[in-house]
Amino acid sequence: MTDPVEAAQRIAEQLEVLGNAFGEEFWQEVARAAPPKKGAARGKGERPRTPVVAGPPLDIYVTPHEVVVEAVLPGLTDPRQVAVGLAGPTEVLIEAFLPDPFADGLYIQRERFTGYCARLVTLPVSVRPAAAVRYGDGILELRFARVSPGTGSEGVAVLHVPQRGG
Amino acid sequence: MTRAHHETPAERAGPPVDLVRRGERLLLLAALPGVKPSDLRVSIVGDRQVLLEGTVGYRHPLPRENLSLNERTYGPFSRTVDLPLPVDPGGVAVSFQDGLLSVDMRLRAEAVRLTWHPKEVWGGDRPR
Repeated sequence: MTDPVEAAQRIAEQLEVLGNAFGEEFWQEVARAAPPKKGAARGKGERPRTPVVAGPPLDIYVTPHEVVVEAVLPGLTDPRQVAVGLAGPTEVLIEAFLPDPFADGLYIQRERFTGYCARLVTLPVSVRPAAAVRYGDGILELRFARVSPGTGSEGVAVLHVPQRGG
Repeated sequence: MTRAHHETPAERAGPPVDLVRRGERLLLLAALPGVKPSDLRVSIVGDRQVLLEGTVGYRHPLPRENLSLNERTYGPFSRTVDLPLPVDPGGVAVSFQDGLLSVDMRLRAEAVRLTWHPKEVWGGDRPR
């Protein structure tokens, strides 16, 4: 049987090889989203990291009992077009297939992304291997229960404010 | 205003748009994830432009600076799409589902019957 951790690592390595080209294209053509903002991914202790910059833009936040992951995936038509895996207590792999309703030759102008995309991301805290899922307005929301409850401030960016003068 | 602080060139560019020709219709598809139908406005300007305006509302229970990771974009957007073909503003159907906007427009052009003369088209002698 395939070890899910090894499988996820293998996928991550393959994506890393594809890596920048796919990521660039995604940012430019698909979401026109900003790259991660400076300081936005910093946290206390375990900080979220994005080892492979590819796939849908994400928002992640932590509450006392849950970790919430939102992925930008407009135009999904079937739950089978999304797969979510845990490669460890804090490693989430999101894969999706954004359907293309028309044949190539019919497009006059094409900017939206369609096809396969994947994203591996590290969560700020450990979660259980089950998630409540909701999809609406093109946003996939995953709610993972935390292994151990906390304050909800884990993973929050802490800004360093330099002292004035001197 | 906080928009200027967060806004990037990518956000100013507006949503990505596809244009598809289907028979006598022109279909515009725009990815607008996170936009509520009530926050979107679609206008046909003349017969050669579509204006998309709206707002991606921030609805998380935490302030934006407290997110562990923030890659989604929020705030107002606007994009004017130049159409390559003239459309009839009266023949437009709009639908918006799962973050995907579809604007189905009837083309405003009457087909001209072409009479082909094989010798002139495919032969070497062309009129000057």
